[in-house]
Amino acid sequence: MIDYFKKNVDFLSRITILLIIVAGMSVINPPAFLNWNNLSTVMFQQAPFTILMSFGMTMAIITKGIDKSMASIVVLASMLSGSYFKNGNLAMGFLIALAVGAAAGLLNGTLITRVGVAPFIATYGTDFIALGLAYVVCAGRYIYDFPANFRVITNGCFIPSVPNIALVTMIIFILLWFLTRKTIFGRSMYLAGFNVDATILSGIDAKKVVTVVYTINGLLAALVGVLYMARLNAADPNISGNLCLDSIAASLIGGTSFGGGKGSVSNAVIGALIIVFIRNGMNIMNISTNWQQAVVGFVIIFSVFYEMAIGRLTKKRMG
Amino acid sequence: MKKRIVALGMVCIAVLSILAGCSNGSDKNTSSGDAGTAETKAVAGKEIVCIMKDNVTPFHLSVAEGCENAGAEYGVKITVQAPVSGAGGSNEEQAQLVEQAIASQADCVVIVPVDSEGIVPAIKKLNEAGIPVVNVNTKIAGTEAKYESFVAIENYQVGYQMAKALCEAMEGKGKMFVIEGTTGAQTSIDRTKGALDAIGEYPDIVVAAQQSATYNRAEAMNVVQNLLQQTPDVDAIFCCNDEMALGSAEAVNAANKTGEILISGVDGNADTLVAISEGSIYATCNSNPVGQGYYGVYEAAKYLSEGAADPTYAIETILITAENVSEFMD
Amino acid sequence: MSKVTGWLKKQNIPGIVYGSVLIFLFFSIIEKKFFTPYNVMLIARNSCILLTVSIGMTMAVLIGQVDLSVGSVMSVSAVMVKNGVPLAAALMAAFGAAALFGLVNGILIAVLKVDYWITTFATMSIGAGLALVISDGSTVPISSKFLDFLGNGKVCGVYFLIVLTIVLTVLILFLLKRSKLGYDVYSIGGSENVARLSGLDVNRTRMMVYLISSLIAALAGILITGMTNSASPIVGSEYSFNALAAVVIGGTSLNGGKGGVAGTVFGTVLLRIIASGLAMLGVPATWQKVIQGLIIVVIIVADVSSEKKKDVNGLRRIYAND
Repeated sequence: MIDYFKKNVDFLSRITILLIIVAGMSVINPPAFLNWNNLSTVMFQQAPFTILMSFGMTMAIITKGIDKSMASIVVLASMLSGSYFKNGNLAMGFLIALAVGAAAGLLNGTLITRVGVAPFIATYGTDFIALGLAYVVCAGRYIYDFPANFRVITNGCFIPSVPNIALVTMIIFILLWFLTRKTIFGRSMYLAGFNVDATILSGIDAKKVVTVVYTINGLLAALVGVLYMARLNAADPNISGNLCLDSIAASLIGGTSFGGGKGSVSNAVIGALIIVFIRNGMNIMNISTNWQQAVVGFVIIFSVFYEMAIGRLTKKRMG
Repeated sequence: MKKRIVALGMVCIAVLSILAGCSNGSDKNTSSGDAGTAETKAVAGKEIVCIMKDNVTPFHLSVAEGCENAGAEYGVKITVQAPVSGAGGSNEEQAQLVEQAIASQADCVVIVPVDSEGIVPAIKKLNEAGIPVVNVNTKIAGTEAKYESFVAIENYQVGYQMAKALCEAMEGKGKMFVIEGTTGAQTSIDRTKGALDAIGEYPDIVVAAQQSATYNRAEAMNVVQNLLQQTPDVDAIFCCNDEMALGSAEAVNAANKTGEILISGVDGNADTLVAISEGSIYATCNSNPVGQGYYGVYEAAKYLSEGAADPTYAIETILITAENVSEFMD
Repeated sequence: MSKVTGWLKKQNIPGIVYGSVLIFLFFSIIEKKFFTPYNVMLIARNSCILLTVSIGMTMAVLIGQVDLSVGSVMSVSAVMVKNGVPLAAALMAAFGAAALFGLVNGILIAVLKVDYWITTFATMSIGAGLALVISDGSTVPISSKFLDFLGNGKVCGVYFLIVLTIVLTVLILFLLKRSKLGYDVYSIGGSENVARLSGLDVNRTRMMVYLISSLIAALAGILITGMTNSASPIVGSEYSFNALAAVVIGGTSLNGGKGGVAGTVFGTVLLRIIASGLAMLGVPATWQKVIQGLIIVVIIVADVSSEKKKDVNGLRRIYAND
C-alpha cells in the first residue's frame, strides 16, 4: 500500500487536485454542477478531445520535444477528409484523414531526427504549412451537415449511456498505456527523452523511436479531427480552438517535464479533466471568460507546488 | 524598322485597351446603372488594395469576393490582402499590410479593420501618403483618421433586430443566453449592446448568462453545453454570429432539445440557412458580405473618378427565418 | 572568388544570414517595388517589435531555458497604459508589472527549481488572462504624444523606433559579449555544472535574465501601444511562440550556450521579409501561410544541414591537427 503510494505520488496528487476542483465547484453551485448529467457531459463529451490531444503532447514532451503542429493537423485532416464523410464514404474519409495525419507526423519526425531540426521549430513549420493548406483547401467553404451514420462515430452509444467518443478514448488510452509502460518501445521512448546519447549507445534506434512518436501524434490528431467533425457537424479552419494550448497545459498539469523522460498518459488524462472541469465550472458560474486562462495558469503553478509538497512529505515519512 | 514595329505594337495595345475599357463600360452600364461610363474610363487600370479582416472565415472571403466582382466590373486591379493569423485577424499584421499598400503605391485602399482603435495610426499614414480610404464593415474609430466612405451594416441595429425577433417569438417572457464574440472585438461589442437594449424592453425576459465563445463553433458548443447545465429551462440563445449559433444548435441537439430553444445568429451563411430550414436555428440575418465588398470597391471607384464618394453607404440587412429562408438558398 | 568564400567561411556566419540575403535578393529581382527605401524601412520598422521581444528571449534561450511569458507580459504592460493616468505613472506600472512577472519566473525557476517550461507557460496563461481582466477585454484609444513619437515618430527621416531598437540590440550585444553577466550567461548555457563548480552564482544570473527578458517585453508592449495609439489586451498573444521561433531560426541552440543576438536579428528580419515580399507579390491571402511555412522549413533545413557539415569538417580539422 505504502509502496503503491510512494510510486504513484504523481498520479495521486493530480487526482486530489481534480477532486479539490470538483468539490469546490460542487460547493459553489451544487444543483447545476454536481449532477450526473453535467459530470458525464464534461467527461464523456467535452474532455475526450483534450485528452486525446494531450496524449500526443505528453509523448512528444517525454522525448524532450514538443508538438506545436497537432492542432493544425486536426484542422487539415478534417478539411481534407470532410467531403468524403459528407458523401457517406466513411472508409475513404478515414483513410485520407489518417494518411494526412501520418504524413504530417512523419514529416515532423524526419525533420527532427534525420535532419536535426529542433522539435519546436520543426513542428512550428509544420503548423504553418498544415494550417495554411487547410485555408487553401477550405477557401471559405465550410463543410457541414454530415450524415447520421457518420455522426454516430462520436455521438452514438455502442455501450448504453457511454458515448462512442468516450469508448474510443478509453481504448486509445489502454493501447497507449500498454505501449508506453509495458513494451520495449515505451521504455526506449522514456530513455530517449532522458538521455538520447545513452539510448543510442545502448543500441536502441532512438531516431526511429522518436519518429514513431511524432507519427502517432499525427494519427491521434487526425483521429481527433474526424471525431470533432462528427461532434460539431462541421469542418472549418477554426475548429481547433484552444486545443493546442490546452493540451500543453494538460500535459504540464499532469506533471510531464520538458526536461524529458518524465510523464505519463494516465497523468495526462487527469490534467485534461482538470482543465475541462475548470472551463465547465466557470461557465456554469457565469464568470467572465476573461478569467479562465488566468485560472488555468494558477492551477498549473498550484499543481507543481502541491506535487513538491507531497513529494517532500512522503520522502520524510517513508524515507 | 524595329522601333517602328514596337511603336505599331504599342498603338495596337493602346487601341485594344481603349476598346476593352469601352466594352467594360457598356457591360457595366447594363448590369448596374449607378455609375456612368466616364467613371469607368477614369478608373480602369487603377489598383485598389482591399485589406480583409482574415483569410479564413466565409464572411470575409465573401467580402473579398464582392470586391473582386466589382473590380472586374469597373476594370480596376484588385489585390486582396488579409492577416494570416487565423479567424478574427491581427491588428498588427493588418497595419503592416496597410503600409505595404503604401509601398506598392496603391491608388486606393478598401479596408475592413480588425480593431477600430488600433488601425487609426495606419489609416493616418494612408492619409499622409494621399491614398484615399474606404472603410467597410467595422468603423475606424475617432475623427483623426480620414476615410472617404463607410460601407457597412449597423451592428448595433443588427443585434437589436435579432434579439427583438427572439423576444417576440418568446412572447415576451423567459430566459435567454447571450453568446458574445471575441472579447474586445468591435462587432461583438456593438451587437451585444444592441441585443441587451432590445431585451431590456421586455421586463419578463432575463439574461440567464452572458459568455464569450470567441466567434468559434467548437467553443460555443462547449459553452452552451455547460450553460445548459446551469439553466436547463432556457428559452432562447442570442449569438453574435452564425458560427456560434451553429455550435449552440449542436449543443442543444446533444441535449435533445432541438426546437424547444430558439437560437439566432448573424451573417446568413449557407449552413445556417440549412439549419433554419431544418428548424434547429430560429433566425439569422443576411448581412450581405458580398454586397459590403462590392459597394466598398464601388465607392472607391466613385471617389477615384469623381473625387467624392458617399460618406456612408448602409447595407440593408434582412431578417431570415423559416418563412423566407428559401429565398436565400440557392 | 575563392578568397571571398574563404573569408566568409572564417567568419563563421550562420546559414540564416545567407538565407535572409538570398530571399531578399529574390524578392528584389522579381518585384521592383520591393527594394525601395520606403519598403526597406518598412521591413526594418515592422521587425522592431518582434526583434525587441526576441532579444530578451535570446538571453533566456542562451542559458538553456525559455521564457514563454514574454507575449503576455507585453499585453499586461500595454493595458497598464490608460488615458487619464499620468504617463510616467502608467509606464512605471507597466514596467513594475513586468518586473513582477520576471521576479516570479526567476524565483520559481532559479530558487524553487520548478521546470522553466511549466513556470513560464503558467505565467503566460496568467498574464494573458490578467490582461483581459484588467482591460475588461476591450481595446482603448491612447492619445499620448510621447508614445506616438516612440511608435510613429521620425528622426532625420528614420523611424525613431528603428533607432531605439538598434540601440537596444547593440546594448544587449555588448552586455552579452563584454560584460560579466554575458560571460556568465554563456557559461551557464554551456554547462550549468561547470559554471556552478567554477563559482558562478547561477541562481542570480538566472533571475537577472528573466528580469531583463520581462522588462524588454514590457518595452515592446509599450512601443506597440505607441505604434497603434491604442492599448489592446491581446496584443502580445502571438509573440511568445513567434519570438522563440525567431530566436531558434536565428541559430541560437535550445540547449543553451550557442548563438546570440546577431542571429536573432536575422531570424526576425527574415520572417518580415517573407511576409512583406509575399504581400507585395500579391500572393493570394489564402496561400500566404503555406508559403511562409514552406520557406521557413526550407531555410531551416538548409541551415541545419550546413551546420552539420561544418561540424563534421570541424572534427576533421581537429583530428588532422593531431
